[in-house]
Amino acid sequence: MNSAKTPVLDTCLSVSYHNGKQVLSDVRLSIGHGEILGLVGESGSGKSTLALALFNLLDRSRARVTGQIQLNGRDLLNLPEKQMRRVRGSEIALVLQSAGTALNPVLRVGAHLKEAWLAHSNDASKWKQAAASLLERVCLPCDEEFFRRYPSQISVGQAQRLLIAMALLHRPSLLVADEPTSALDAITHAEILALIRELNRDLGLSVLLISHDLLSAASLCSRLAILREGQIVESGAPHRIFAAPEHPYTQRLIAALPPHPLAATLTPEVPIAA
Amino acid sequence: MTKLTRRLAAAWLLVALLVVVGAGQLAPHSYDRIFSESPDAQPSKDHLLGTDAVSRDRFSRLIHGTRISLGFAPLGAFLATLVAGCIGALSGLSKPWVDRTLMFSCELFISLPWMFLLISARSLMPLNTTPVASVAITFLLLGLLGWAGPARIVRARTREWLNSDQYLFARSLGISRRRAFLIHLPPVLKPVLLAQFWIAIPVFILGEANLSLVGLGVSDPLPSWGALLRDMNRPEALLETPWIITPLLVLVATLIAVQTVLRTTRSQT
Repeated sequence: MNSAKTPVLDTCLSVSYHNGKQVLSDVRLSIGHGEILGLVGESGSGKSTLALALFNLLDRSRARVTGQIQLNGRDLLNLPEKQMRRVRGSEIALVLQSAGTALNPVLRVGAHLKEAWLAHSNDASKWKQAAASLLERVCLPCDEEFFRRYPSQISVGQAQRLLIAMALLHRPSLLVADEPTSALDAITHAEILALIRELNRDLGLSVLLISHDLLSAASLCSRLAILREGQIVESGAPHRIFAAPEHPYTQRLIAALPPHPLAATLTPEVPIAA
Repeated sequence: MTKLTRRLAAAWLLVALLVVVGAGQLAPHSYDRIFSESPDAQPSKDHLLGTDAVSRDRFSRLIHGTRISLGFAPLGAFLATLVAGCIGALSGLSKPWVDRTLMFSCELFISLPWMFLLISARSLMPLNTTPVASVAITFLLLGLLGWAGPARIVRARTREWLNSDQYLFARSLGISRRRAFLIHLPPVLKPVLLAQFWIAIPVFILGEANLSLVGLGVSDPLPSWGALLRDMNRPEALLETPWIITPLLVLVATLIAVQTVLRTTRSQT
């Protein structure tokens, strides 16, 4: 079942809302063990809907999900809610864009970690032990003073690291990171991307990085998939996509990238051909 | 609002709280002791606010009335907030048809004339209800009828939470729906419920006063602010014995103090 050849995630997914709007059409993704796949698309292209669909967390009274979601060879789409709950957090985990909105402002840091631990364990006494090594890995303090703090009393970067630590507490095989750096400043942004790379390398974690930032995704991922209006229009290795984008939308995406601020001074002025 | 106003309001509420706690010690006489030799007496050293038509010391009755009106209003407010919390959260978490039914009943409660409903419900009670039972019934009624408005607010907050990243992230960790509702939702609703509780207190003080004023609230010989206001039902009495206005002044001053403190707290949060 979990052989190295079986992809961690293999999807062929369509999502439509009951008002008839098609949000995702036949989205095929495959992520191997220890691979980081970047899903890049503009706002409204269906990126977050895809993330929710993977967790069976789309409101089924409003959205219709068809196709298949194979996680380590098991189809999640038709899994009863009771079994799906056991999969969430233990086999597939989610990190959201803004830790500020994802963390409950009235629960302390310690309570957040404890709750995440109790989701798949009955032994409440072991949460600190389980969290210790992970907190160290994500460069967060592991002491009572930190556990007593509220989310508003830690920095944005620490809060994002806490989200990642909570998501990885039960060592899932796949991490879905939905715009994990969009709400961060440049330095914290780089730190979080470096952390995801480290976790991928050290723990063998597979990652689906969902982002609208083509450059960040390209810097981190071994493969990119470009999503537009609910369809994958192009996929491949980052260097191939940057060197020879095939789809007009990908070409526009690359053309829209801001030039390097020093580009004008570094490159000699060349008269533009008429 | 000046600092002095806020301090005065807080001091007034502190004194009121002391009266609620220590009414027995602070009142010079019992609320039902009859001084048969001096009915309708003027203020004197023995009777600071004179005596009423049945020769009871007005000041002692005001002290005991303050204890009942101010002491039971928070209990009624607590009951209303509790019911509002349960119904609002249930409505927010339930399937659409349950939600619609509960919210329809809420709107029905809100659209009904409160005072009329209270008077109707209270008048259904037997006439020989004991004074203590009358206090309990009055505030129980206020509590049971005052849930609808706060319930809508609780429901809105619950829905907002259900659509939030907090809930989504908790579910993505494998936290069950039931645990999220029992452990994660209550702290989210706490500030809303606390605000509703504090807002309900002055409303219930006035509700009790209105009921007692028409003789359907706390029954004699137990005093309450509303019951004491009944003495003012003759305009000429106000001219002859102006000190009987004191319970009204105490009621108005307390309501202003509560509003002042609430406004200060709200502007600080």
